[in-house]
Order: sequence, then C-alpha cells, then structure tokens
Amino acid sequence: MKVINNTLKLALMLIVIMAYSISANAQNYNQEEKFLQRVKERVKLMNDYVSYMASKSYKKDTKKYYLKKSLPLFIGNGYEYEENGVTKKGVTMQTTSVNNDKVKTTLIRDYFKHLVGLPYAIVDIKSTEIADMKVSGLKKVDSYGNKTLYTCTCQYVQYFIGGYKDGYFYKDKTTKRIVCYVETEETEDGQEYMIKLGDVEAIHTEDYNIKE
Amino acid sequence: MRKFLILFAIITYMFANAQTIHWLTFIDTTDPNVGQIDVYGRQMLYGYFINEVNAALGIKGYKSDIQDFYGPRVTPENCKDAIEMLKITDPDDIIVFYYIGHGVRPATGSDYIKRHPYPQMCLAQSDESKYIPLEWVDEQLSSKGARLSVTIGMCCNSIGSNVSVKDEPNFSPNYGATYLSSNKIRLIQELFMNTEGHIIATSSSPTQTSGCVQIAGPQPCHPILAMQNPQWFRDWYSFAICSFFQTQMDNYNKSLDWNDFLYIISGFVDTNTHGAQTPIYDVYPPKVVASSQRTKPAAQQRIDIEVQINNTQKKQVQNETIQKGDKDSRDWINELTNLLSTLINVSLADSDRQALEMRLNENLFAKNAVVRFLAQGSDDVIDKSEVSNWLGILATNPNGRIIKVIVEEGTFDANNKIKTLKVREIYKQK
Repeated sequence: MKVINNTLKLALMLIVIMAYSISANAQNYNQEEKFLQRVKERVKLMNDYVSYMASKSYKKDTKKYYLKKSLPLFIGNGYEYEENGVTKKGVTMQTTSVNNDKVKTTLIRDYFKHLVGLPYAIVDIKSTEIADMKVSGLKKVDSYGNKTLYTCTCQYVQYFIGGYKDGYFYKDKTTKRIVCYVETEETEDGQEYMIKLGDVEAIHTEDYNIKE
Repeated sequence: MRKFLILFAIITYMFANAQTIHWLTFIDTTDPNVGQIDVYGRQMLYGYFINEVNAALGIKGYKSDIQDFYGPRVTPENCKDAIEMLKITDPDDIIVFYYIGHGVRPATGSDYIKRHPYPQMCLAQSDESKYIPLEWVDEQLSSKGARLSVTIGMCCNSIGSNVSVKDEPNFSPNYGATYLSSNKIRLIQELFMNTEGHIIATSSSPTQTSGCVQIAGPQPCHPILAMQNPQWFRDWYSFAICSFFQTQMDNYNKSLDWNDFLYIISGFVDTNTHGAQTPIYDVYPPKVVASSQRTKPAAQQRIDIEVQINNTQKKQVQNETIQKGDKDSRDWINELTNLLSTLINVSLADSDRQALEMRLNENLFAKNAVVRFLAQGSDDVIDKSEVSNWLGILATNPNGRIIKVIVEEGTFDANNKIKTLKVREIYKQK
C-alpha cells in the first residue's frame, strides 16, 4: 500500500479545485481573448529585440542583422505606411529621461540604430513579463471589403541601466504604451487575424530601486 | 553573399545529438457516439501535453517524431504496423504511445485479471479477433531499446462489448501561443529524461468503464443537448493529464517522477468520479537485454543540411496539401519541424542560423508564402505573416524565447514550394 505524502495530497486537492474553477471561467471566455495573448507576445518579442540590440554582449554586425529582422513586427515593416488617408514616415518610439522633462520622438528604425550604438560600456534593458502586461479592448478603425482594422494598446514597463567604465551609471523605469493594429479577415475557413505593432508612447519615467 | 555561401558550405555539416522522442497516437474520431468528442480530445492532448513535452525536450536536443493516427487511419493493422516498424537509433530515445478510443476486456476469473489488468483496444472496429492488448503494445515498445517507453490507453476496461461514453471537458482556453515556464520545462525534462524503463497505464481498473467530464454548457445537461455539443466534454483521463500540465506544473516545486505523476492523475480521476473510474499504472525498470541486442549510441552524425532540405523538398507535391494525419505526411511534417527547431536553436552560431534561414527561404518556400499561427488546442488562426519575415524572426529569436515550432499543415504551389503553412509556436515564459 502506497504512503500518500502530503505534497501529492496537496497537488491532488489543488488540481480538483483548479479544474472546477477553470471550467467555470471557460464559459466566460470571449472571441477577443483569442489573439490578445498573441498581441502581448508580439510586444514581448519587440522588447526582446530592444534588449538584444542594446546589449554590449553581441557584435555590432549581428545586432544590425537583428535590427533588420525585427522591423517586420511593425506596421509598414517599420517604414512608411498610410493611416486614415495620411502617409506616415514610420512607427515612432518615444524616449524620456529622469534628468529632464523632454519627450523625444524617433522613428523606430532610427531608435533601434541608436540602441545598437549606445555609448555605455554596459547596458541592460528589461521589460514586463507577458502575464503582467495590460491590453485594452479593441477599437474599430476602418473596414474595407472582408477586412476590418482594429487597434488596441498594450502597456508595459521598461527598466533601463547603462553604465560607463568610470563607474557612473544611469537608470530609469519607464511606463510605455504601444498601439497594436489587429486586422481581421473573413475567409472561407473562418476569421483570421494579423497583428502589427505601432507607435510607442512613453507615459511616465522615474528612477527606481535596482532591487525592484 | 559569397561569404555566406562559403560559410554555409563549411558549416553544412553539423554535429547533432540523434536522440528522438517518438509519439504514436491513435485517436478514434470516427465512432458515431463519441468520435466528435475525441476530435476535441485530440486537440487538447496535442495542445496541452504533447507539444509542450516536445518543446521542453527540444531544448535538450531531442528531435520529435510524431505519428498521429486519427480518422479512418485508426485501425488494428495500422497500429500493429506502426509499432512493429518503429525504429530506435539512439539508446536515449523515448517512446510514448497514447490511445483514445473504445476498450474492453474478456470475462475471466480474478487470477487472470490480476495477471492482466490492462484492457484490449478496439481501434475503431468491432471484430473482437483484431482487438490489440495494451500489454502487447507495452511489451513491444519496451523491447525496442529506447531508454524509456510509456504506453497509455484511455479507454474502457469493462467486460464485454459495452464500452463507455466519453464526454468532453472544456479546458482552460489559452487562445494565444503556448508558454512554458522554466519550472514546467524542468519538470518535463525530469520526467522524460531522468527515467529508464517502461511504463504502462490505463484510464480505468479492470471491469470499469472510462467516462467524461462536462466542462461547458448547462448543467444538468439533457442527453440530446449533450449529443449535439461534443465540444462541451472531454475524457476524464486525458483531461487530468492536461489539467495537471496547465494548472500545477508552473508551481510544483518538488521533483517529479512517473510514480508521482501517475498517482496524481489516477487520484484526480478517482476522486472526481467518486471511485467509479480508477486508473491503474505500473512503472518498471529497464529490461535486461543481451549486449548484442542493445541499441548502440549513434556515432555523432554529420547532418548535411542541404541533404535534409532536399529530402524535405522532394516530399512537397505540386498543388497539394499535406496535413498532419495524412498517410505520407508524417515524414514531411517531422522533417520541417526539425529544420525549424534547428533554426530557432540559440546555442548554434548566428551565422549558421542565418545561412539556414536563407536556404529554407530559397529552397522550400514560394515567394510571398504566408504562415498562419494557430492557437493552442484549437485550429483558430490568431495571426499571420509573410514567411520571409517569419523565418527572419526564427533565425534571430532573441533571448531564445521561441522554444518550439510545430508544423500542422502545408500547401504547395505549381513549383512544389510551400505557399501556405500552418504552425503553432511555443514560448519560454521568462
């Protein structure tokens, strides 16, 4: 006869509770949830690229290759695109500093180039995990034929540390909000989605305790 | 460009681990009573168990070889052939067999039940002479020379031809990509890589039937409404496995072996069915095999990527579609899945992966090919992209976030190149 250890008993009890609660929640699930998780994943992937391009651990040529491969995440593939009849030069990224109140708006491709060549000796950029990102509901923007364009926003926090060889370092914590474009298309196989990222707004910047 | 080609020519030979996890799944989706339920059961099993195991083991270099039988291809003959033809080339290989369908057992005395507690699988037909004993599968697979074989039968174990109705549980919907936490990855790797021997398990004890749980729809549910809505039900046993994977593994902080895992699964089913269905299992040490019969480790293989790509391309048929489950699809799907696993492997040099990206783009895919991303556990398309852009993301894969790409379906143009592809992606959570 097997001895039932406490850990297994607890796991068993938790599964029973979780399974019933999951069943109840499942009934409230709606269509939008299908791809809002994917939206968060795209934003996280963008932040992974940001982190990689800023890091001093990789060669510049490699980082430039990553830059090139990251741009298709964005609407217009990071270049010119049209919105509401207006031609835009490209997706933009806002940057701020704890040292002043200026908000700088740069084209995303230029922001990434700047990341590749940051003047620090050491750079570390981290961002919110997917589970902690906040995504808004969808807002309809336009429809054309069997396609409809929506936007939503995704909010996350970015932590930046840059250090020089003399020991001076700069750090900040910025809450950012990115616009995400979701195009839905009715096809003979059902509804399909395509997700592209848009402009990034810097909402708030502050210093932070490294232990956060 | 020239530098790339020279570099590629130099590095086309890649040393690679040869170990593989082989999956044989037989899921009866044609039964007039419960076949539709098992369609959802199959999606759940692949979405919440099989794909996750492959992703976690892929990090350790394991290739995946999936033989997915469903629909009219679930037959005793195909089952026997698949088992007999399965080849193991590395002593660290793993084999997992999973059956969902009807099962029975003969009316015998208790001595026989004690010696042979596991059921026979009906495999979508009623000719009793063709039923395959689960124990035979375990016997065959455990003699192949793999480090670990796991044989699971989700079916009734009742006497005679009265088989149980299977319901469909509505599982925790995760309509995005699949995410694996580092803890879950650790546990999956522990479970599959730290065990030698063979395991056999089934969803009910001798003389019991295997039932289902309703996870959506009104309760109590009128039987007619239930028949009209198979998507509201799943079989208890597969649901228990997937539920443990989804709700417990992220925070389970002890080590996990097969005895622990199957004990939890069995307890879950037994508790929820109030003792009406008690899964059973046995975990055995490795068989003693004569040294002449032991699988010898494959010599480190020089894998010519060009050869691999050419082999994959040869299977692409003009203006055709390959879907998982088609007779000749398995090799193409497994090969392309493994090529994409190489592409996302961040332990390989960037230059190797960039070169592979270029070769895949040129040789296998049409210009303007489109890839569609499927949700976990369903066939909903949650995103799409031009393949050329997507391959660039895979070849860079910053922080190694993408840990597995699973190919589900491909269609080819008049030049035998992939024009549309359907895949699922699995991500590391942190």
